[in-house]
Amino acid sequence: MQPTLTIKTEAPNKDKNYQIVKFVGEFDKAGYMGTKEELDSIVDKFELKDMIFDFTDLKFINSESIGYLIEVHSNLVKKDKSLVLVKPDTHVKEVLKTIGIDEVVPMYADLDSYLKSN
Amino acid sequence: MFLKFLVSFALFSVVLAGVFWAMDYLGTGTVSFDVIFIFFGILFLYVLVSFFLFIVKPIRTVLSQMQLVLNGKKFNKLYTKRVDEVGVLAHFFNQVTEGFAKVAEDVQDRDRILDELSVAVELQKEIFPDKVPNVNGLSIVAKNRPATELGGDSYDFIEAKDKLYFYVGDVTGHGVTAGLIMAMVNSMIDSFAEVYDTAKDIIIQTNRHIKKYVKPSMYMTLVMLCWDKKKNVMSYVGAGHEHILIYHKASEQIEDILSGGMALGMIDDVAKNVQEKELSFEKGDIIILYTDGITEARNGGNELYGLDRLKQSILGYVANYSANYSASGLSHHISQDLSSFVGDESQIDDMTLIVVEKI
Repeated sequence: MQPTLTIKTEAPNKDKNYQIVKFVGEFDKAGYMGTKEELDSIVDKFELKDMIFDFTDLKFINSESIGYLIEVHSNLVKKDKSLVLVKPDTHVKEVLKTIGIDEVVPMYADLDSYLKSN
Repeated sequence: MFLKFLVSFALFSVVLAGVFWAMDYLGTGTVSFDVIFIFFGILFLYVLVSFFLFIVKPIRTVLSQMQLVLNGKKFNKLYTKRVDEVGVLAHFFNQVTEGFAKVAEDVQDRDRILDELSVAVELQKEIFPDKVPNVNGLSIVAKNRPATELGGDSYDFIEAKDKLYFYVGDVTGHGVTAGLIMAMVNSMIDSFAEVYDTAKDIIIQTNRHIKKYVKPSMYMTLVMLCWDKKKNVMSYVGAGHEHILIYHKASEQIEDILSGGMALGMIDDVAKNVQEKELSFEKGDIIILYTDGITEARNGGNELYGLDRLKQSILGYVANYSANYSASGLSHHISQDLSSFVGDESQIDDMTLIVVEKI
């Protein structure tokens, strides 16, 4: 199974209390397996308030990966932190909304919308 | 080893021959035939006993242990200090059988797991309805094809209190964990249908219980329809599942309704997230429920089958069969269309399809 997803971590924004993790590719089983260790490590080490998953370049997401998002969300909430999703494309947004994750995890059209809401 | 044996044999022969020759020669001055005969007799016995003790017995021990290994019986490690061929053979046997023991253990474990898995597969088959209900005014077809031995897709038909509840659900992923959650949800819904009067309440209660036992990364999307046999009304409740597709005979169009709600197991209480809504469902209309294993099936070019192709497949079938379409015909047509789209690509997710026609 070839990895289909890469993640890029931006430097933490300590002033605004967030860090952005960019997802590029397809968040399917192969993508999930290929990046889980790296993502877990990023989430474990995260010390700010909001962890922002930037889905600008994410083309596909499946149910298993959404399960992972919920797991990350639950782990962050336990530590009084939050997961935030920004800029999902039409397909990804539709899948996330279909399952109802937008009612649990805040989702913004872009980073500006997120910043304005805070 | 043979060299050692021959050297000791030669040495012994020379010493023995010397003793006999000396005794005989000192007594008579000549060596008699009897002495030679005794000498060769003793020599033969010595060779025989030595051959048995040093060669035949150790090899036989190794072979008997090998036979035990080959017959799958308990065998012993061979202990020897010999560094000759027999020692090498014993050492080789110990090395190989050490690996064998590990493999045999793995095989036993694998067999046990496969046995347990086959029991689970059989149990899951029992959970799926063996036939669709015969309900006045409806023609129903249901199909399920798991991607692995144990699937995470689920569907069922439950008749309770003048109502027919039917649903299609999809647990995250597939395999043993998904299969267990699927079985748990199935039995909960079956029980709650007897207790509660609406699909909405059944979903709320099922979620409440699922949340207690399932870890956050596991959840189940589901859409439940309720056919009120007395009122002839079809309603639905969504729990974060795919679209409900309805082919309307009058308009010859497909309506796609996002089931709405929230997947089961994500939050403690979904009472505020779920709604029960009525569907427009007239004679000749067809409802299609499916899981994402169908719309997310890919072909060799990595293209998704997708919702649009599914809708086109439905419209294509209805157009071809005009007034003679049926639920079973449509179900078969969708399966064929999907198979020809996917081609030789392997199935990566469970697939479930329910087709209900109002007749």
